[in-house]
Amino acid sequence: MQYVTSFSGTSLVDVTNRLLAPRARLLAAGVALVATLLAGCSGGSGAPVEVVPGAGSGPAAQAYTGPAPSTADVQAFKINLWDNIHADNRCGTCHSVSGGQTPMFARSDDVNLAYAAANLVVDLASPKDSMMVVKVGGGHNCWLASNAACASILTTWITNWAGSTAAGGDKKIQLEPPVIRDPGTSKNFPNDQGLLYSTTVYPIVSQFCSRCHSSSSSVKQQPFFAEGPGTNAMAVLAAYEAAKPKMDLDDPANSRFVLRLRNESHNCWTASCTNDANAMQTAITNFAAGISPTQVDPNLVTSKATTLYEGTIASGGHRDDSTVIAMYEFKTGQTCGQSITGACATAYDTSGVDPAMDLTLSGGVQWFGGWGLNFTAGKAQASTAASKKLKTLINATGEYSIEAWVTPGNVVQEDMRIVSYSAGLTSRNFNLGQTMYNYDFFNRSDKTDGNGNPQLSTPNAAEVLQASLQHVVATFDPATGRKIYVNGVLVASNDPAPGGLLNDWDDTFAFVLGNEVSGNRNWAGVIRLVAIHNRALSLSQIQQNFQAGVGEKYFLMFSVEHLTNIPESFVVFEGSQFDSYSYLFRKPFFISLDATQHPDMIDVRGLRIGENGGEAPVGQAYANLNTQITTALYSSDTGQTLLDLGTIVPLEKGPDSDEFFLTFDKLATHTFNRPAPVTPPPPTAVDLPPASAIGVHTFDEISASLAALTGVSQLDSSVANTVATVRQSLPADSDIKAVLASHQVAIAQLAIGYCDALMENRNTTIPRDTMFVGFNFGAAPATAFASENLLFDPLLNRVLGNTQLASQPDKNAVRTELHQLVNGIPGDGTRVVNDAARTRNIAKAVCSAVIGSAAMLVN
Amino acid sequence: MFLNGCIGCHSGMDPLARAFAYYNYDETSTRLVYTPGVVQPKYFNNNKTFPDGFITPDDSWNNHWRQGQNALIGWSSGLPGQGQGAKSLGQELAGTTAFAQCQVQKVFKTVCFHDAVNQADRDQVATMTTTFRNNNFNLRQVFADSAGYCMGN
Repeated sequence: MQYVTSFSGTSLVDVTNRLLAPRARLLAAGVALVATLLAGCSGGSGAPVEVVPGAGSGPAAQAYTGPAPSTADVQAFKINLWDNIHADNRCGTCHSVSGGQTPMFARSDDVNLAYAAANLVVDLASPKDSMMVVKVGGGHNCWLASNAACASILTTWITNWAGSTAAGGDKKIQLEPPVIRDPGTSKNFPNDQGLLYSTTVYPIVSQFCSRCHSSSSSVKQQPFFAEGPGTNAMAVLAAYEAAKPKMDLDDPANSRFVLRLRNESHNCWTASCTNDANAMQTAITNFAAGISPTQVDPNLVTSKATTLYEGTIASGGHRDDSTVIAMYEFKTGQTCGQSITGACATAYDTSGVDPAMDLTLSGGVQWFGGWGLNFTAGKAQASTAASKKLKTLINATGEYSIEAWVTPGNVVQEDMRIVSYSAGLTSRNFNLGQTMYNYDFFNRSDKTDGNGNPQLSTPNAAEVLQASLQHVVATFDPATGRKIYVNGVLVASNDPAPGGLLNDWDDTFAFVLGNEVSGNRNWAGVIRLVAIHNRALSLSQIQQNFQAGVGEKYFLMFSVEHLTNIPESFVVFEGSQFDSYSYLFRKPFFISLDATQHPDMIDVRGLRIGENGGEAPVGQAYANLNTQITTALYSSDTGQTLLDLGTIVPLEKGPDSDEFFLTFDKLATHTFNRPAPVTPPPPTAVDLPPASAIGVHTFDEISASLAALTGVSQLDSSVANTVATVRQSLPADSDIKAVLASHQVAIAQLAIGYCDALMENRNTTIPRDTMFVGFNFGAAPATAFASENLLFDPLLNRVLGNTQLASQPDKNAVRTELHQLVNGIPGDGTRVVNDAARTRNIAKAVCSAVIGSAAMLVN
Repeated sequence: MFLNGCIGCHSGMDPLARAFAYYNYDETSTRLVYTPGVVQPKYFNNNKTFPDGFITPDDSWNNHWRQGQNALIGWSSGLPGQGQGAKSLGQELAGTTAFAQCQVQKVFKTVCFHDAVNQADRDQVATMTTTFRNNNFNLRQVFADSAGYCMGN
């Protein structure tokens, strides 16, 4: 029985109906190839022209009319890999019967024979290591401008094949031990403000490169490592910073500066690029020679060393991409620096679903270390022709999901586009955007307008959008409409226009990241991954993809066999480039690759991360680790987790060059007696300006003092009223320099209040006449004050003490003052009645003057 | 950023702050909330900002400041430098020389109306601090000693 998969003449409806099947997107890929306009396999030098399904009329690929796949695995090979590569613009031109090039894994006459040939060049257990992938990734006839993109797409296809068979179904990551070597001495860029650079490398680049690599150039080209003039220290420093990634201090011949001249003949300034490269290499060698290498302290207990890229790749093994139709992982721009021209101008759609919806970068956007795009005021946009596959494939299912890993640059930008499929400010099929703390989701359906309004936004009060790395998924299904998930949690589901059909989508719109297609909705932030699915992802799928994380991740294996004496024993970190300035190290575990080992009673204490010959100065989250590896906790499959923490380590020379190792305060029998941190001497005490040795009573103290001196109760209503009135005008601080004239007025008022009660013999604990024995309060002033000391002395004794103290006012002097007060100014008495009431009034004045004086106030 | 701007203090503060893991203040009912055994949600405010960061499991605390520049505080050698809950943290703080010295300085200023401004004053404060610690933290004695020192004639 013949197996026929001829889609020639298949209508779009038929095609899209097929997409509802479980292997939907792979069939779609096959369909796309049928309609592909062939461009030969000339290794990426030609520009392949691709046409979306149903959109073109180019020559169809040959329909398969050979024998049916003999097994399920052959069938899986066919729909996942063969359908994608057998066409004449991929591998079919050469690796087929007509091409005559073995192995003929793309032959069209018999898919079973192609399968047999393919098995020789694929590794289903580790698709990325397949010979086919390695070959194409190395530059062998990639059909795109980027070898890495071709390799990534091939890996996707082979992974899909593997994922549908028992042979490759196990996605457990196999740890691959790195080359075992000791941590080496390493040269690090000096913090000398570019002084050494200015005398070694800078003279060459400033002379021969500044016409482009300088911000003052009319044809300026990043990076500005030739910034000038050389007399401007800040310009030289900027040039130095830009030049660092281009120089390899440990191997100057491997510097990008040298390779660019020697291998790529990039703007050599003499007739001989070799001579120019040698001159540059000499300059960098001289630069490196002036730097003292950082030595590893021989007393430390260290593991063996490794680099990030020597680790086992841990990325992408656990994502659910079963319904993805467009995918951007931004893997290809890691060597681009600040350039977005040439090969760096394209972000590839690595979904493997044709047509590839590649994005063209323009404006303020740059590649981000550790996979990503950093948007400031730019965009990454696909062609409308390629974007059409979104409408085609999403209309087929009537539902979709926008998935993205983003780091918003701030939480103040409003109405900005992150992921959009639109024509301008007012027309779109969908858009995921940001308004301050909210994610906005616009979707065009028969329930919304042409701009996708009303939008669904995350709740204002929740402030779920933060300027940190977040996993955002916006889903739409025709029954319940839109939902937004952030970091694996459903945060918005109350769609104001629930459900609906997507038939009105416009296929002339373009897919764009970081902006509106019109370029006037600049979103600021970093996009690390974008995936478009033509299904509404379930919560479990979303959480699976959230847990899988984003970016390039590696298992960094630090050999400790020489310390533990356990064969093939390692401390393994999950490492990744966190951003352009740092690495993330997380979840260290101990494992021996020898499954027969059963480590026990191994102490691990004080683990620190070393980088380029020295311990990293900060971020040592494991410094307080104190644990033991025991048989009970150890598993030969997963080892034993040491600490479930992650930390950040600074990026120094770049992921290519930074060499890491571990140090231990104790591992097994090896110990390092780490000196305790130095406690600095206490600061030297400094004498302060001489301070007043006296102070004053404060508000309530004053009232209490007056009550004690006069024997009048503070509860006397008149006194209490006065206290309430003047309390806030009394001194609030004991500092004598804070005493003001207004304080004195208030004190006088209060003193008068107390003296009034005393002289009227009201609420006194000591009766007036007991306190002032012999003084005649019933007589007229002339009579009463004839014996004035009977009034003065008890007051003075109470305020100044019975015994004259040197630090108190002289009693005789005070008596003189009081005598003058009593007698007043001559002629005073002409307008008053000199009766007993006047006697008491004068007595109150005397009393107030004494108890309201500094003798009472000063403490 | 957080390795530059925050780590200097927070690497020591946060391990201490774990002592209050079960405490919160309810603004609605204006009262303290204590949930023994259950860490308050505020301890997980930034769990999505840096998911690999430390996750507070309980109210046990560690004092990493016993070494380094903060050793100047004079931690009590009779205490272990770690514990569970606010009470033991309070003992850790109250057991320092700095705590005793602070109380003595406050008394000194209250009684004498000025800080210790010269060597004689500082010696007096140091003497009273030692007495205070050795005398079961008897504050009354500190007042008496301060008054005796500053009473003048």
